[in-house]
Amino acid sequence: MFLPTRKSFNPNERGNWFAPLVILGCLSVLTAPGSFGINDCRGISSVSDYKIAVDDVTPPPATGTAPASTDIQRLTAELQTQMEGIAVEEGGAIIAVPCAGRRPASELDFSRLVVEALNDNNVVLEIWGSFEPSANPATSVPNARLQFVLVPVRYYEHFLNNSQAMGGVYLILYTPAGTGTALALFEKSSELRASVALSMALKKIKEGRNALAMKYLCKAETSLKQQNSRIPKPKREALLQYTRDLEVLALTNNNKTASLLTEEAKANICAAPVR
Amino acid sequence: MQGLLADLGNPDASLEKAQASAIALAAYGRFAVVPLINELEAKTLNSQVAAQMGLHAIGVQDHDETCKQLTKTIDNRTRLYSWITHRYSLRLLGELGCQQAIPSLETYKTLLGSGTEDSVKAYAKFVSDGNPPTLESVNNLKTEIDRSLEILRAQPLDQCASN
Repeated sequence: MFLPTRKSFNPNERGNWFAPLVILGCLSVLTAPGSFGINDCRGISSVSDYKIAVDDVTPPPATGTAPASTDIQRLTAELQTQMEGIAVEEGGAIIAVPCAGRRPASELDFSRLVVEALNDNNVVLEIWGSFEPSANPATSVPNARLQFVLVPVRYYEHFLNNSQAMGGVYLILYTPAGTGTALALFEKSSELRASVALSMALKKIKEGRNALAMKYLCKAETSLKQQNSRIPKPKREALLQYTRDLEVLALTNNNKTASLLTEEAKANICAAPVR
Repeated sequence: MQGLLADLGNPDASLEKAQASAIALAAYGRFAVVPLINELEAKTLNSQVAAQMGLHAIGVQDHDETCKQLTKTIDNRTRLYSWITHRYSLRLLGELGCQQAIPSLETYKTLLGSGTEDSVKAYAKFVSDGNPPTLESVNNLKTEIDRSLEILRAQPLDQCASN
């Protein structure tokens, strides 16, 4: 490797290094100490399997009645367990990767370059939990939120196809009114199964494995139709429509007549083993 | 420079911190090109994203050396680099206006083959083993090459001469 020496730096070539220094100065203002930034996830690029990145649960700002740190740890562990459950159901096709210290602030952290890097490294879903102060002044108990990104959907639809309807980022908000605890938010959920299946389907279509994509789409559609889904209705309907659009695409790619796809024919395709 | 490289590759660093390190490295000009290309190959995603930004910054200042090293990267067939590093390099060659890279870009497109399972396997023999390419990766690489070639072929001749 060439290391610069005093001799190798010509002061007359100031233009070669002056401009980046100015940019650095500007950037250092933008990245002042304490600024929030998305940390790396060590396990993502070390294995080539399909992955679910499971981030930390972020505690609320230090106002109101904050959950105890043990509760935060419990929720993080619960989230990890749920994702591992989905991974096991997929028979080893997907692994859940814990991303200690990674705490996205919002969907803005999932820029095109970040999502592209995640997609290239076969991350199909990234999920994180957080707490925020309650909007209701009568209660000091924070709201729990669960957010997740369908990585291939965000990359191909939102960034490459400029789709505003398919942003690929979803939020489930848990307001601690009535009974139950925040743990309920992180429990077995059909929407997460649907999201993993939909992301896998899109990956398989891109890989030219359309029959396998159909299997994932069957699973996604079944999960999205479940009544207990907590994705807001308009977004859920958009996801369902997208699932059907992908079914047509997968069938067309597979040289089957998508226009003749009746419910009965689809049920047969969903029940058939993949060769 | 060593400290900045350590910061860039630090898995505990935030994306913003990695980007700041990459831009600071860019101040070293041509001396930072090869280290930043190596960071494209890094095991941390933030380093990969940030290194692209650093190479952008150097490419504007030290165009010829950056183009030369990126061209060498995509010309490599000894499994030294992953397809992901090649993808970033293919993109940067277009965005930095590296006219001399056009033949290498065309050759690379031929290397990618026709998109069959066999052609993907054949291509995989030229890139590192860690994250094997799929039909999806190959199609994304082709899109990247087409975009770069479109950029380079659309450049006015006087701009090409100044490069």
